[in-house]
Amino acid sequence: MTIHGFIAPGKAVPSAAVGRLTAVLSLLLLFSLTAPLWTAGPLAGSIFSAYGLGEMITEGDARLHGMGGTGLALTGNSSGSLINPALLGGLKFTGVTFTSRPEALYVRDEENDNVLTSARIMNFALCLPLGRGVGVSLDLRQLSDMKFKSYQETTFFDEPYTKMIARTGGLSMVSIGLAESFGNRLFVGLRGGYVFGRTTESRSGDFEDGDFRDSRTFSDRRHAGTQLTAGLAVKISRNFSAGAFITPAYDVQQDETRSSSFTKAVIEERTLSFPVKYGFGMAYRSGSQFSGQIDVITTRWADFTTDDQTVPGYRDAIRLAVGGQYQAVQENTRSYLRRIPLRLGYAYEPWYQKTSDGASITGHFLTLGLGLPFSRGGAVLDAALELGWRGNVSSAGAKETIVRGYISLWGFEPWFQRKK
Amino acid sequence: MFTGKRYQNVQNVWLIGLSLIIMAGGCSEKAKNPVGFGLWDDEGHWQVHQLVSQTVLADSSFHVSRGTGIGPYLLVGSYEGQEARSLLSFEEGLPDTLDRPLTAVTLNLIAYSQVSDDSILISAYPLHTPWSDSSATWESPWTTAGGDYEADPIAEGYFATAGGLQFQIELNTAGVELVQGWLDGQPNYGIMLKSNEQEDDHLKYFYSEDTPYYPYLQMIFTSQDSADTIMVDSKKDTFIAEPVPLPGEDLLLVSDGHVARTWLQFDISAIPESSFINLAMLSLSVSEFRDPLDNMSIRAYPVSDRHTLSYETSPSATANLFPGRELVEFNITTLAQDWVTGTENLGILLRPYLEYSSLSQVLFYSSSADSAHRPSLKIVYTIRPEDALASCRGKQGAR
Repeated sequence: MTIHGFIAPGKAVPSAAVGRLTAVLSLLLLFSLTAPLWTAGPLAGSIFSAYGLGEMITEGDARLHGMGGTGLALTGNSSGSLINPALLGGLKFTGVTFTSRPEALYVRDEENDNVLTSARIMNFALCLPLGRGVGVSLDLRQLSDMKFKSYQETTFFDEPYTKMIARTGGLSMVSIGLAESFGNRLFVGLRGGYVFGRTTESRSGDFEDGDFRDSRTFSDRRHAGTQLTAGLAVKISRNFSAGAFITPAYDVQQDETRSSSFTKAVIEERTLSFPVKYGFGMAYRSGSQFSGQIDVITTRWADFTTDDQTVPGYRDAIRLAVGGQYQAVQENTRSYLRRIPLRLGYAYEPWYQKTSDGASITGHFLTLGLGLPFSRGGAVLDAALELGWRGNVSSAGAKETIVRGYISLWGFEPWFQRKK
Repeated sequence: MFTGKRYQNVQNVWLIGLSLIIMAGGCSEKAKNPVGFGLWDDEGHWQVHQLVSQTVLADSSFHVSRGTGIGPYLLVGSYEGQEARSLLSFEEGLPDTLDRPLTAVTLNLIAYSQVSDDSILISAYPLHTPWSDSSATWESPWTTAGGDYEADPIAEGYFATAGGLQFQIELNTAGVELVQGWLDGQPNYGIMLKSNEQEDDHLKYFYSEDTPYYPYLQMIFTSQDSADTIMVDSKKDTFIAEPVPLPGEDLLLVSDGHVARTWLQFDISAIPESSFINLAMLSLSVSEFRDPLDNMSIRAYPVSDRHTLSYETSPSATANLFPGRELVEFNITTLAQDWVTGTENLGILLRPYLEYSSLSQVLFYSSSADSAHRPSLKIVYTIRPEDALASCRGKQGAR
């Protein structure tokens, strides 16, 4: 039974070197994935989630992230359907998955450095092939994440004083996808989702002396909106496939309750108009062992508005990613290590908002990944390790070195399959 | 080694367990993070300023003429030249019918504390003038300041706490006749307790009728073959204290016994509206402090009417005084916040925590004193972020 695409029937190519490499990579990955456990940093995400709407989560599971986050053109497997709904049309088995993303960030600015750690569940998805090339999905995914906390100690009139900022929460989406394949070469899909989530933002000024009262401001923002994504994928030839998607601009209603030490609680409503997002990807497969992809995803963040007002500092973000997979042999061999697919990727990921000084923030990510079959064809644990660099101390005010893991657990069952 | 089915199952369990552990990792709050604070270009949230105001719109002291009947103590003796006398009445609870003669009467009181362990001679005198515990003062309602009383005492006795806290003196023949007269329906104005040893700081505190240790008379009625004893509790008592003159304009007075209060009003109009008050500390320099018990508690109340100087029932702050303290501070942060957010600033009133309970007094320097000693109100406040940002933008636009 084939679990993922590109594991086509073929003759096994046993190799002791591949086995050793896989074992070393496995240990390296699993060691890195436990980073949040052995680092003693505070619980926080990217420090650049101090800006804008927080960190935009690159969607996908550990398999896609092992290949730089590429997968728009990965026909014939479940993973690609998480980012391109058209790829649901190529499903053969019912799949259930969830993905976790633990990460450790070494962050530094001009004065301090620190290690931050966090872990989050990125998505949960159920993909169902209904037969005759039709597939549906139901998933819950995280779209954005705010987990920024920082403080600065100073004095006012000889009194020790601590300034604190905290931004937490994020946006999520529950969505339903529907896709159909036409002639096993053309795939068309649609995904509609309900966007929701809560973010909070608090600032406080705390005097060390207990005689002083501390000032507070707190914003509680709740969001609701809908998002639609259309996808397309084409098998151009036996080796080439292409995929694309577009998420048109959509509105999210934001209800904010703001309370502070200074005024009574204020409730405000506003409309966040998220910009259009679209992407294009190509995939190449060489036999049963090698595959490679390239994806380009653009989000027109410069068009983001709040109550029709352009937000200063937002800029268009073009994410470029390349990646590939190597699998020594197909699943029917008795060598476990040689059935493990190995993945490699790179992503260039600019931040969608400039710093307050107008500097751009860019990120570079190198990714490694593998898939560990649980049993012969039943389930797989995909894992990916991402090493990233984002920002710059001199221009962006801070830099973070990211060690990020992705873990996806996929289970497959032949539901709705007709017996021959 | 990787092909056994048993090993496969063990590996599956291990992988699932590892996944769960990793997902749980980082889910607990840890230390704070100092990195990246500079990314937040929003100093408007921490615009802390300080105002030290010595601009006093009003400061004055005034006496409150009211009886001390609500206090828990009866004071007898003197302290720092100020004398206190106690008044006791035993009108209620006297027996109606008498079939035996009254042969002996003793006055019983329980002491609370004393200034010194020295013994003091306390004398009891019959009073001539009717009085009320809610209005009797040193001057009123007497024809002679300090009370209208018989020249000769009806009882005398030395008291020192070394001998126990109970003070019991037996009334002499004139005293027994006085009480017999009360029983016979003659005018009953009670008795006064005073000490004639005013040259020393001898002051005694006895519990009043408002406490469980109230004073009482013990009356003994005797016939040929038996004697009956009746206890009569004091239902009305108070003490009166020699007046303390108000000080000159460079000092402010807060005193107990002969009660004086002080009113202070500062100008804080320089603080922007909607500012958040982090701290408002009223500081008063002590010129002179005295208290028989070496401890005085003063409370600050918001004034609610500037003409009558009536004040709110809940105090804004409390400060304690003790010998050697040169500066007294009142944390009136909440009150200052109310003033900034719209409550009219009518000033604050300083009074002893328990008025009519001692002979304590404190003199503070007033606004007429030199700048090092005059009252000051230090206010640390944070400007509302929106106002701070608007101010910054205004400055930037002016460049």
